[in-house]
Amino acid sequence: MIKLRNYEIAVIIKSELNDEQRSSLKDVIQDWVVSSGGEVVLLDEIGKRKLAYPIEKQREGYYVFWYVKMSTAGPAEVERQLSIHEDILRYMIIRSESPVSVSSSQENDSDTDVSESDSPEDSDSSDQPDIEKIVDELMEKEEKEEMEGSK
Amino acid sequence: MAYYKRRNQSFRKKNVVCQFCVNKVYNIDYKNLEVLVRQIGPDGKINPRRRTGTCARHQRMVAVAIKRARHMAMLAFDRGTWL
Repeated sequence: MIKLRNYEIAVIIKSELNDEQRSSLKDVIQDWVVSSGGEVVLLDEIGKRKLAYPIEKQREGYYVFWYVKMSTAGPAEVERQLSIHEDILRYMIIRSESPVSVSSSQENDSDTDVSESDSPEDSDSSDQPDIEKIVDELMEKEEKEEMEGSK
Repeated sequence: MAYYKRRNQSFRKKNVVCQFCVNKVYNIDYKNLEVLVRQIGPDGKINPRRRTGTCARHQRMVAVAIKRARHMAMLAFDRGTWL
């Protein structure tokens, strides 16, 4: 029984490559994953993007992310292969708790907004029904008390 | 008087409550730059907890996420020149 874990592989490919070279390189990387006993759950691409700082004198990179299930021996093998290849500027393999689909990650984006303008509105919207309930209850109590007092 | 007031304000917490706890965030993704950009200063350094009010647990997650984003050239190591 081999224990499978969820990993996330992030790769920056040189932006100079044309589409054919890039797709072939992606196939090669997927082959490494499959040959080391893993399976690709999801492929996510951001595409061409400016780098925050130059890597190997490159100012642009092509971002590709794989969400992968692999055995515990897999990442070391894939990492070794990634480090050798010349057209890969950067790579990173991290453990992810669960495979995240693109749609759910976008939902998480909206959830994790912590802007100061948004958060009070959220808290207000959650508080409003409670306050209304409490006010209603108080009103009812007061009415009952008044009725009892009048009697 | 005014001097002391201003000095105290500079060390004051902006948010008393951790905004990640308020929004019930359980994991912070390093690709989610909208959130991470708010946690770094103009020079690209990670904001301290005393400024953002983030709780210790979420501050740890933020720090890891920012360091991962820096490695993947999504955030700059200095000067805050993210694009």
